[in-house]
Amino acid sequence: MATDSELAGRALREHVAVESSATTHAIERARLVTAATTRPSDPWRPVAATAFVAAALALVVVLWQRWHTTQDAMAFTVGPDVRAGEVGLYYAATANAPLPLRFSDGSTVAVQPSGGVRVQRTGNRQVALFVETGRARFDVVHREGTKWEVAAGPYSVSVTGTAFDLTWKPETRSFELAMRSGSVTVRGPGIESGVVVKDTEHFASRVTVDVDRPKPPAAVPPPPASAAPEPPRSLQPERVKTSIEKPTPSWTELLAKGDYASIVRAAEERGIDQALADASADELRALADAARFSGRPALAQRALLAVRSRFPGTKAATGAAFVIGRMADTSGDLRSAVTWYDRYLAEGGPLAAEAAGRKMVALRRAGDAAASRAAAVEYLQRFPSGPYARQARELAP
Amino acid sequence: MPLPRGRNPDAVLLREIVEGRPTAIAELFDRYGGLVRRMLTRTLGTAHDVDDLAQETFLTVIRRCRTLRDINAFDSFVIGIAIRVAKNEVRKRRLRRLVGLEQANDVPAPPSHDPIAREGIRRLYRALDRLDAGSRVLFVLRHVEELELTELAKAEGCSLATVKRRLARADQRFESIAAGDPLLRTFLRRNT
Repeated sequence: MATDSELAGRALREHVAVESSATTHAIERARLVTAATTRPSDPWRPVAATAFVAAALALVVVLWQRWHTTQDAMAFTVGPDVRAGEVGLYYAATANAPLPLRFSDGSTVAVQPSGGVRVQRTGNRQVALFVETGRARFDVVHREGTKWEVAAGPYSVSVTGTAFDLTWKPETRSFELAMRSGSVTVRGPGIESGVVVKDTEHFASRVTVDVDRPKPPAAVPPPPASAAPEPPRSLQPERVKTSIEKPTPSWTELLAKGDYASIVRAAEERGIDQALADASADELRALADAARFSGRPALAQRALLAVRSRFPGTKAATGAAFVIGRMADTSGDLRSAVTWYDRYLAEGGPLAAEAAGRKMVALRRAGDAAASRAAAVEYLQRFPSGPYARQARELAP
Repeated sequence: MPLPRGRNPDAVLLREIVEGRPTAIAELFDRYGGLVRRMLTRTLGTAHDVDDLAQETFLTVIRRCRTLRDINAFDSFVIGIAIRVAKNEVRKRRLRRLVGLEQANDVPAPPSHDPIAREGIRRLYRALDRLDAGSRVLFVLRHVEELELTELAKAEGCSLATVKRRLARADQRFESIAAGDPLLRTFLRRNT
């Protein structure tokens, strides 16, 4: 039985993605080469005069600040072909596909089909970006000093490291913000002091025209030109519909709280067949876990099989194969367990060492000495220090 | 699992790194950048400043590699420096949190479509926050990066018996913390 420490290791391997993009790798490599080949040779070199030392230090500070600012200025690439992005240019997605913008700190902005954005400014971990139309999906990496300002129409969103979707429809002057994690502050007409929107909250607002307001004289001077267009003075917002909606807890949120019964009850109220047919992969996985932890293995198996049949080729489907194998293993259906472990291994999941080890043990328990020995030999070749290495050495000394 | 063989630089590459040749430094980063970044991110539980810490690690490697006597120990040499950088950073962040200069962990979030994993990982790192810096680094290198005990001992510059003893203490501490968090335990057992 794996210890909590070993299970923690597996969980971190499975869920903590650490690979950096090719762009980031190239930027960091260049940064290292510059730093390693331009460092001072000997910081303790004696200097003849104090004034010369002071001037030299001042020059170093100025050069270091310029170098630091330049090195940390955010670069970004655009599109699947990863071309260099330019500040000030308008980037629009086609009607058929999203357009990704990838920033050098790992943040991404996915302009959704028919949407358009403009990166107005970049600096040291700071970005100012304007959503001109449509929807954009933001995943901003939080670091010390991270500060993004995202503007859309008369609204602005202050971001320090969060994930959210923002939609601006200039034709209806409607603004919509759907949070996925973290928190942001939204400012705009009627909410100048700022509204904090967080976690999975949803914020919607619309600028409307007051039809009772007398029309201004025709000779109203035009507003000054600026990068962020402001609403014309004849359309100053008088009524603003603003709402923050808290969605009902999802099954995954209920699972995180340990409320397994509510998940199973909700599926039964929806109709189990219906739930299995139209729930998302995450909901199905939550239902499977809730069913397992509530002592409903048959329902758990149905949910996991639904993940496999409805979402083939996904990480969720691969993960489901492992859990089905484990359930078969626990219930004593060893041949079925081996079949599911083999499927998991063929699909390349992150728990390969665990699956291969369990397969080996299941074959031994099933009485298939030759197959378990062969599995042990293969295990030691692939995972010489894996969690089942000791058992493998006992089977194949 | 053991570190992949064939990563150690040969004598020519090592000499060029000591000489500060740009192509050799770039080669060094290509070979070890992923490993160092992975180790730092998983130890610290956040991608915050990992690139800067990786730069610090490599600059230290370049500065000190002229003293390396056994070229076959280069892997352990790099890991050993990354371990020291990670431990220092863990201690600094703990001190900043104590004096209110830093928020709680901003963990590298699992995919946003999996809130169970997100909460589980957050709780897991909160548990790791309660280990001392040395235990935390050892825990991650053994259980996450799956380094062999002999490699850990070489990187830490201590005996195998000492590494085993320190690891057992770290495991015991983590498991007693996890035992007091039912949601964390549910998450850890999700795939068992």
